[in-house]
Amino acid sequence: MVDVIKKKAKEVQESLFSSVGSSVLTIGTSYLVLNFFRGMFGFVMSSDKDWLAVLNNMQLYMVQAYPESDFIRVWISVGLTFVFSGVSIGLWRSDDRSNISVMFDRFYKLGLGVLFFTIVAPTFTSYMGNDGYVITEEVFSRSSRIGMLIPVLLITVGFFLLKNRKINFSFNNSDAVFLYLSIPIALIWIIELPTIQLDQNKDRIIPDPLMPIANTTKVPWTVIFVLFLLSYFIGIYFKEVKRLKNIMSISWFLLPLLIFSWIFKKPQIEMAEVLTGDIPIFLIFFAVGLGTVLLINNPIVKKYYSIYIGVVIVATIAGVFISIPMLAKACLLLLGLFVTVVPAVSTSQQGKKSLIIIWAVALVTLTFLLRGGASETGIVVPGSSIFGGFSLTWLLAIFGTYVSFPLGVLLALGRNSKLPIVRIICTGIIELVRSVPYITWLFFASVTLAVFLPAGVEFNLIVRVLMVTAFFSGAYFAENIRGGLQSIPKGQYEAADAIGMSPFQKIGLIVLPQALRAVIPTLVSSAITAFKDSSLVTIIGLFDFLTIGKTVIDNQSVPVNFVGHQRENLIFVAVVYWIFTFTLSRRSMKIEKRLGLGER
Amino acid sequence: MKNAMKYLLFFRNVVFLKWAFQVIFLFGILSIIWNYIQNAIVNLADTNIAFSWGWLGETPGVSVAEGMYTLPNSGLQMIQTGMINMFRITLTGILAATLLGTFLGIARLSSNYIVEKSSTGLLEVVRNVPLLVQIYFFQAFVLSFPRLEVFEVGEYFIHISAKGLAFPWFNRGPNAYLLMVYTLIVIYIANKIYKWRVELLEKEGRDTKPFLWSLGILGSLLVIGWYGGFRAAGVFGFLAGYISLGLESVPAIVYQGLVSGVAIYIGFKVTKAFIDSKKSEEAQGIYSDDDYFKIILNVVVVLLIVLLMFSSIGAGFAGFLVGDEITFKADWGLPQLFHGIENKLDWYPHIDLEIYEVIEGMKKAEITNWLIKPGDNITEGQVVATAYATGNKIDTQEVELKAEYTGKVESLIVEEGKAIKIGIPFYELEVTDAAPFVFSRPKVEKVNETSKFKRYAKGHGKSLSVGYFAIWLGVVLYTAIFISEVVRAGIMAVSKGQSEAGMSLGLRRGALLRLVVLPQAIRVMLPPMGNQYLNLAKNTSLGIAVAYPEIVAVGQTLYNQEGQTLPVFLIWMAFYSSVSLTISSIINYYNRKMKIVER
Repeated sequence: MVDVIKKKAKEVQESLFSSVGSSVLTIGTSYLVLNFFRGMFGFVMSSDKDWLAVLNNMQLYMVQAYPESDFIRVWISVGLTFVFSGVSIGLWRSDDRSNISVMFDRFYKLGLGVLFFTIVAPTFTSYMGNDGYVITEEVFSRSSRIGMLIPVLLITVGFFLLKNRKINFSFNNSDAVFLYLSIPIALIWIIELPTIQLDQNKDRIIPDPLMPIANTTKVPWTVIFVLFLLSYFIGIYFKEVKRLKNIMSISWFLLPLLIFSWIFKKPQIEMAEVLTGDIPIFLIFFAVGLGTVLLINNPIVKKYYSIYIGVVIVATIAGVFISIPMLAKACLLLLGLFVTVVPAVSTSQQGKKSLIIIWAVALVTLTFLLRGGASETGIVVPGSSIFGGFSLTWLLAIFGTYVSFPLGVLLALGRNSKLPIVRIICTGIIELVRSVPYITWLFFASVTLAVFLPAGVEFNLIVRVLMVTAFFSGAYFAENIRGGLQSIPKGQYEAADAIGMSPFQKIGLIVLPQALRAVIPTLVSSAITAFKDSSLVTIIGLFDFLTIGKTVIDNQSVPVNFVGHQRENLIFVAVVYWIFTFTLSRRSMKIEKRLGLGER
Repeated sequence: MKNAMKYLLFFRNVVFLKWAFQVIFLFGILSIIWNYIQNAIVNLADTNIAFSWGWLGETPGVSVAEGMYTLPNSGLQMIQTGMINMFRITLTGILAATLLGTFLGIARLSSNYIVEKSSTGLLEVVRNVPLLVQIYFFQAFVLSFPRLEVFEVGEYFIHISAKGLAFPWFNRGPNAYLLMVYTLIVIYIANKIYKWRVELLEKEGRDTKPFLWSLGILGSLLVIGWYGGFRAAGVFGFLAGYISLGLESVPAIVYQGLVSGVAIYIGFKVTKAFIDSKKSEEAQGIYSDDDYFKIILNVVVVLLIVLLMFSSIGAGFAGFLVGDEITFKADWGLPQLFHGIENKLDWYPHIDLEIYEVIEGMKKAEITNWLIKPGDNITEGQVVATAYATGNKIDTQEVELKAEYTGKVESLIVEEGKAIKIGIPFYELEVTDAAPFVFSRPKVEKVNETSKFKRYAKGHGKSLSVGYFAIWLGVVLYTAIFISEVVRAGIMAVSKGQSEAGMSLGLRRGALLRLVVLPQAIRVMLPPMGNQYLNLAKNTSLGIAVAYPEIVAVGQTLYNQEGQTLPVFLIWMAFYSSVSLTISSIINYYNRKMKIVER
């Protein structure tokens, strides 16, 4: 035992006090860090902060003015996301197992952290009042410190002992996620937090009554958790089905579209439009696709196939400029993609069959989504848009990435192209877009873009922001992807040429898969930047997550006065952003490791 | 092969298809752009806001919160104020972020557990929270302090209130630029002497004490400078005066010709070098279609530049260079620049004294009686003129304008009986007696005797506005975190053998880092570092969120006033593009300079 302590002491001495400079650094940094934590604790606990400004406005934060009568749509969206995650976690469940002592170790470290806080937390805190005098108050009394210290100490010691006992029990790492998640779900039903109650005169009742945290949300969250768990088991059950994994990947791509166009939006559909517009367009395009697949092996068709592709591409470009239904434009674009892929895939009867099925499914999905997205929303809110708060931030982040990614690929290919004019134009676009800050482009979207649109065409500000974001993030994505393109050895291109691949096949099947794989980490960090940058829309007056925290709640005086509680809300906003970006960046590091990038 | 190509049908010819596609692509893009421009013309005609640059010359009816011209004479002056405010953040920010980032990067590699963990913690927090949220938080932090009015009048050491942050500072006097230039020259000389002594040491092998030598010379020259020797730097002002005189006699057409000439020369050189390279053994004088295109492109670009230079755009550009007074009333131009240098760096600097706010609410002053004439020697505090003070909220009354410095009156800019706004210069003074820098502590004062409002006194210490503080701290911290990652990666890229070799030579940790590791790491660090500087420059545009008047905020104020959104947007684009280009070319220059010379 003495040896162990000696060894530990030596380690500490070597790490912290190896030299005079190191000791000074250690003490100085510890002083700073300790004071930082004490200051934070005092800040959080001091009586001039009102954290109810955050708790009481959770609804505003999440969906802004979305009407309460339609909240079921929000819950369905959240639930669907969790069900999808559950199935995916189940499907891709790794076989990594950990000993139970790992979990105990985690709880032990958590206990140590809480213990540290309990010990260093300041008894008194002071802040400057409005009159310029410093007010000091007790925030953590001795009795509550001791009252906390003893149970925390007991729990920590308990976990320490458990951790060091060799228990022969291991669990799957994915299962642990559900165990950890079940803790907050259980806590919702147990822990009580204050909620603001008003008396007849609309005055706040002090002290605020204790209520289980958000009575309205505990049932939905529990249901969602149960569904999450069920879908996890479903995922595990179908783990071996390879096709399901592919379907799941595509579904993840479609899920946000579905949520934002059908579930969150509550489209109002006119049957006449569907019957006269959607169904005929669908049938025509399906017939064209079907014909293409069936006749591809006909020698005459084969001979003039490249002309056919050219006609389709020209029609697609022309379609952008003439006024035909949105659905027809989108279908033309899809057809353009389809006809370029057909010759490569339809070599066998089996391939033809699946091509037809894919074509039908894709068209149905497209029609379905566009009908939802293009219809009037049935949700009435004050203000210009039903999206607000976190739902708007999420919309901007996801759709910004959706639209900008393909654009980025195209720009990168253009910049890497052998055709000089194409290269010059793409380089010009990328450099011009990148050299100007994002906020300037946002102003462009909000005030200048309307000038360039044909008279009578007006887009919602959110749509205009999305258009500009597509170009902005697209240019950044393009630079990342260009890095990937340059990392591909020339031999790959030559090999593709040698086996007689067409340029489209070469890029789609050989170049892009390798290039994108090489730059996944940078792409993720670009996506994270895009997510963080979405907060800039605050400046042009959209009601995103940050605006709610910064402006809306700070100006709220009815029914409860929250004026002057901006810092609490900003900290909350920062924490939420932090959780998302931190998780994303950690995931990307894991992916990087799994792909073995950067290692040879 | 070549013959075979001849008999190919043209639509089967790869070269033809390639160029046909590109021409179609180009025309497609051009037609889209043309389409949008047409839309813009129609839409602007509908809204009765014709696209124009005239507003740049008109006096905007708004003021700027802080900066060079708080009451700008013209739109261009206002934009100039925004640009300079942007540079204030960018330049100091780059310096601070580099220092802090290097420190944090080294801290992250430290073997000290606490130092390493806390710097990593800081990194994870700052990196994962949007910059805007951080900036808002800093702003809210300062704004949560009490208003300035609750504090007693008097001097403080460090003061923070809802009005901003104030701390002791060496404030620049009229002679400050002389002393700064002098100091730079002295540092240059000391550096040269250090190098010379080191060379001597290497040649002769005896201890030549390079450090002591350079330090001694630096110290003694600085002491001489402080006691009046700094006026030696006035030689630059003297030279600048003649340069400005010379430049003023150059007509605008010379600049237009000069730029076209340079374009033609460079175009010719590049094309010739290209053609020569084709004549080499490997190329065998065969030109591909791409090579022809390259040559044609060079010619077209040069022709375009020449055409542009002799169009109205080129004339406007040259007008800027020669400093035409017609162009938007701003003092922009090379002669003006050198004239400014002459004023600041003359043996005795010349300054323009501006009308200041004698009583609260005063907006304009009408000089009633000059008490001085050119050539007079005046002392600080002497009454130079009497004037009627006018303003919206005050009664017209007579006030006395006092001299701010001791010196010799050069000229009177404003005639008697003419009303001018606050902030406009009214006489020119050759300052004979003033300290280069004045150390002072911040002071809270009443706006005037009867007012209940207070402010930080001008010239006492340094006070930062809330916006400046928030945006500066925000971008510096955010960029420093990314720079620390760059520094860490750079240091880790230096192979371990290098530091082991250094250690085996007996170098200490500090010397090892300074002499062996960092010089090699800098090569890896430079390109990503340049990216971070670019990001910093672009992120300063968030100043608009905290009401800091940098160029985007100023531009927004202007287009709200004038309705000219498109020109403002073009100015933003031109400004940021040139800033980006400048920063990246500086970085590229250093990158080339730092490159290992390979055999």
